[in-house]
Amino acid sequence: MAPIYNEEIVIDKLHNPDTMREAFGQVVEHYGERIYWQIRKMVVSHEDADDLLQNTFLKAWNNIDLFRGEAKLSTWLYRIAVNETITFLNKERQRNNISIDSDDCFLLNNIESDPWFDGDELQLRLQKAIATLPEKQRLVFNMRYFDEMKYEEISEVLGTSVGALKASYHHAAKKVEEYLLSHN
Amino acid sequence: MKENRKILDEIGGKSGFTVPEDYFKNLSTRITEQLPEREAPKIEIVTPWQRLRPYIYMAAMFAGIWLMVQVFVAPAVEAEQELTAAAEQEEELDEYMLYSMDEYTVFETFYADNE
Repeated sequence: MAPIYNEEIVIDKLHNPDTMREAFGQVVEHYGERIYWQIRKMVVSHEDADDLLQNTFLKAWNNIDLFRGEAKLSTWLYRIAVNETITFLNKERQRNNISIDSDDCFLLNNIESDPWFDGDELQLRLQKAIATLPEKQRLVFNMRYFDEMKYEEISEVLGTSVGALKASYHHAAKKVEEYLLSHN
Repeated sequence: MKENRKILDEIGGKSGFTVPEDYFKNLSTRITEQLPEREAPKIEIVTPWQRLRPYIYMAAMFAGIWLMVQVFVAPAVEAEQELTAAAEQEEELDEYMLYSMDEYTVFETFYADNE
């Protein structure tokens, strides 16, 4: 049975060379799945999400001395994951000759044959709708709609005010709904 | 708008994405196995001298300033005070002489000085 996760104890252990590896394992155990889904919803492919998840935790491991506990550990990890994801998407856009103003529908090119997507027709349409959103709106929409994160928490991760996030989510949800209705 | 919300509610926050079997079960082990070894953080030992050095330097600086004031500024001020005191004493003596003499003696003294 996995030990009960206590963030304060884990953070203390992370700063002790003798216990940091064990504590980091607990961090991965505790936050790995959440971070994975956050990345996956942005990059669509499981393989890419898996790579980015490993990079995220590797960066966190290498920079653990910089984590001083001012923010929550989850917020810090989410920030690293968001940065990794954005860097990856920029590279993918460049590789596919996609302009920065275009949508990210190219990510869904192979979704119907993806063995790790078993969504119905409506879920597929939802993914296509989400791919039409600008990157930041997509992040906000995913965090709010799928992960049900609080605006305050999203604000800490993305460094945007709660008011702006609410407006961003409202616009994103409206666009998604319009897409879903018009592509019925 | 309500009809639209109904669509998102109908989907219920399900993305349709899946992962290989036991993916999350092995995640922690798989990731931590790939982590490189880390060097123990370097702890800098601060000696008492290093800790006190800035305060001692500051004290030495103030002592230097005080010494310079004592050597260059204080004697000049003292000499000026002595001169002032002497001048004040001379004026007081003149005033005393004027008040203590009668008019005749005063004129006599003036005439004597003029001659």
